[in-house]
Amino acid sequence: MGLKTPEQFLQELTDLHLNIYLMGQKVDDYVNHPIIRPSINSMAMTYELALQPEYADLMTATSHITGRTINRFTHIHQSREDLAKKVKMQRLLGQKTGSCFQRCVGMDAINALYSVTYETDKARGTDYHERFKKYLVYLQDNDLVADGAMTDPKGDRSLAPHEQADPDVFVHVVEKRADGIVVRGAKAHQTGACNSHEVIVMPTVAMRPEDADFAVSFSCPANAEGIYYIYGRQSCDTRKLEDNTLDVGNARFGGQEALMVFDDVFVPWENVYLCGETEFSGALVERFAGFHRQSYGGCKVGVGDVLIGASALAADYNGVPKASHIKDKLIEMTHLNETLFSCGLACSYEGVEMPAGNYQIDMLLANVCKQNVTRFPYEIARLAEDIAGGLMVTMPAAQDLADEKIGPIVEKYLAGQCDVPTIDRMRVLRLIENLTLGTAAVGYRTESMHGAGSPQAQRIMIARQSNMEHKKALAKELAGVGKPWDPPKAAAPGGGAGPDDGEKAKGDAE
Amino acid sequence: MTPADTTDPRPVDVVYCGGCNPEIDRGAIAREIEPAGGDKTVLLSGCARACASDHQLVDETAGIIVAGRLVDGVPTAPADIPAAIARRLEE
Ligand SMILES: Cc1cc2nc3c(=O)[nH]c(=O)nc-3n(C[C@H](O)[C@H](O)[C@H](O)COP(=O)(O)OP(=O)(O)OC[C@H]3O[C@@H](n4cnc5c(N)ncnc54)[C@H](O)[C@@H]3O)c2cc1C
Repeated sequence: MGLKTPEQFLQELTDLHLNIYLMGQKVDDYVNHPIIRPSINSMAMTYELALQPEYADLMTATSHITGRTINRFTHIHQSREDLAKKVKMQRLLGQKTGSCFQRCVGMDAINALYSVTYETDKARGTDYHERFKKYLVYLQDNDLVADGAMTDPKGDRSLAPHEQADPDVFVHVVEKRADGIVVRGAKAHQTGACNSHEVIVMPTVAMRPEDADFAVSFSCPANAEGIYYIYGRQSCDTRKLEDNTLDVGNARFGGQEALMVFDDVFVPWENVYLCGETEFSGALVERFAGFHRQSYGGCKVGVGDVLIGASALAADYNGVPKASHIKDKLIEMTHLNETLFSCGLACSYEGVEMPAGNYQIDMLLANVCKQNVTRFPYEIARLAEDIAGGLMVTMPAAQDLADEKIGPIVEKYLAGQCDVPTIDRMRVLRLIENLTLGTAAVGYRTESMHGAGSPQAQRIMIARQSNMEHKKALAKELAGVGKPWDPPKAAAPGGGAGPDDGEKAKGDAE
Repeated sequence: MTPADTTDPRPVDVVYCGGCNPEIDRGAIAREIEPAGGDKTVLLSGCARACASDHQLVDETAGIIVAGRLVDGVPTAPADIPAAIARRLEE
C-alpha cells in the first residue's frame, strides 16, 4: 500500500464510523464537525509532509522488517540517529500545526511493546513478539494511525487495581475464550483517539500478581464493537462553532483528547501482547513513558517556536522590537526552548540497542527532558503574555471588527505600529491567546505538565537512576573522607595565638 | 592511574568505556575476572549507556557486554558481575 495521502486518511477516518459523543450528542459527521476538524487537519499533516521530498528524511523511514518505505510514525527505531530524527520530526510538526498532532502516542506504544514482548517471550515462553511484529507490518504497510492508550481513570490513586471499589476504573479482562479475550474499562485523556484507525492498549501502572486481570495489552480497530468515545472539552472550544477564523487564533489546526470506553470488547488472541504477566507491566509503563518523555523534547519545542515567533511579531506590531528587555525576553524564551530540544536530542544520542534489536532512549535523560517540559513551556507562556500585552485577553470580538458602526472604532483604537493592519495585530494576539489560554494550551501547558506522567513520576525515575553512590564517592575522595587526618602543627611557643586566632592568622597570611 | 591499572595480566581482552559516570567499579571488576583463556572480549561500560559496546546491550558476536548493572542485558548486582562474566566466558 505504501504512504497514504491526507485525502485517503480523511476518507478512511470517515468510513470508520466511530462512536463519538460530544457535548451530550452523538456526532456522526465527526470529520466535518467544526470542533473536531482542526485536530483531524493536524493528523492529516503527518501524511502530507511524508509525501513532500523536502521532509522525507525526517518523515519517512525504512521498515526493518519489510525493507519498505514507511511513515516514521510506524517505525521501530533502529539506531540513535533514528531516535534523533524522531525528535526532529516532532519539532517540525509542532511548527507546522502549532498544536498537538497526536500521532506520537501510537509510535511510542509500538516501540515500547517491541522490546517488552521480546523479553516477555524469553522469560515466559509466550509468542507475543511474533504476533506483535505481524501487527506492526499491518500498521506499516497500511500507514495507519494507532492511539497509544495507557492512562486508566484509576479511581482512588492510593489503591491497586484489584483493590478498587469499581474494577472498571482500570481496563481488565472479564472473560478468556478459546479465540480471545473480552475487556472492559476505560482509558482517559486519549490524545488523537477519534483520529485513529487502531487502538493499542497498555497497562498504566506496575502491578502485583493479584492484579493479573489488569495486566493486559492488546490492539483492536478503533471502531471495534463496544468502543465509544466521549470527546474532551478544551478551553474556548465553542469559539470554533462561530463563523469566524479570527477569534480562534489557529483556525486550521488543533489537538484532541477523549475518554475511551471499552464496553466488553472482544479481542482475538493474535492481537493480545500481554495477558497476566504482571512482572512486565512496569517495564511496559516505563518504556512507553520514557519514549513519550523524549517526544516532548520535540513536539513542545515546535509549538514553542510558533509562540516565540508570535511574541516577536507582537513586539514588532506594538512598536517595541528594539526595547532591550523585549529582546532579552525573546532570548530567554529561545534559550528555554532550545534547552528542551537539547534534552530530547541528548536522550536520543545516548540511546541503547535493546536485546530485541530496537533502540531505546536513555531513561535518565528522557526523564530530565520531561521534567523540564513540566516547567519551561509555562515560563515561555508567561514571557509571551508579558510581551503581548493585555489586549490578548481583552480584545473585542471578530464580530465587532466586522460591524459597520463599531468596526472602524475597533480598528482605530487597536492599531499598533502604523504600517501593520489592525487585523494582523489582532490575529497574532489571538494566536498567543490560543497557545497560552485557549484550545492549544491543553497541549502546550497541561499536557506538558501531566502528559507522559505527572512531574513526580519523573522525579522517581530520576532518583532511581541518579547514581548517588558514585557522586558521594567523588565527594569523599576530594574531601578526603575516611583518610587519616594530619592535624595542623601547634603554634610556635610565645606566639600567643589561640585556635581561633590561628585560623584567622592563616587566612590573613593567604 | 597507577601502572598496575594499565597492564592487563589476563588473557581476556577488556574494552573500557570512558568512565564518565560509572555505577560500577570497572577496574575492580576487570581485576576480578578469572583468567579464562578464551578469545572473547569483555566490553565493560560503567553505566547502561553502554559506550564500550557502541550502545549495544547484547551482541553475541562482539563478546560479553557489561553496561552498569546489566550483563548481556540481564540485571546483575555489582558484586555478582565478575562471576556472571566468568560464567559467560566458560560458555
Ligand atoms: C492533554 C493530555 C493528553 C494526554 N494524552 C494521553 C494519551 O494519549 N494516552 C494516555 O495514555 N495518556 C494520556 N494522558 C494522560 C497522562 O499520562 C496523565 O494525565 C498522567 O499520567 C497523570 O495522570 P492523571 O491525569 O490521572 O493525574 P493523577 O494521577 O490524578 O495525578 C494528579 C496528582 O496526584 C499525584 N498522584 C497520583 N497518584 C498518586 C499516588 N499514588 N501517590 C502520590 N501522589 C499521586 C500526581 O503526582 C499528581 O501530582 C494525557 C494527559 C493530558 C493532560
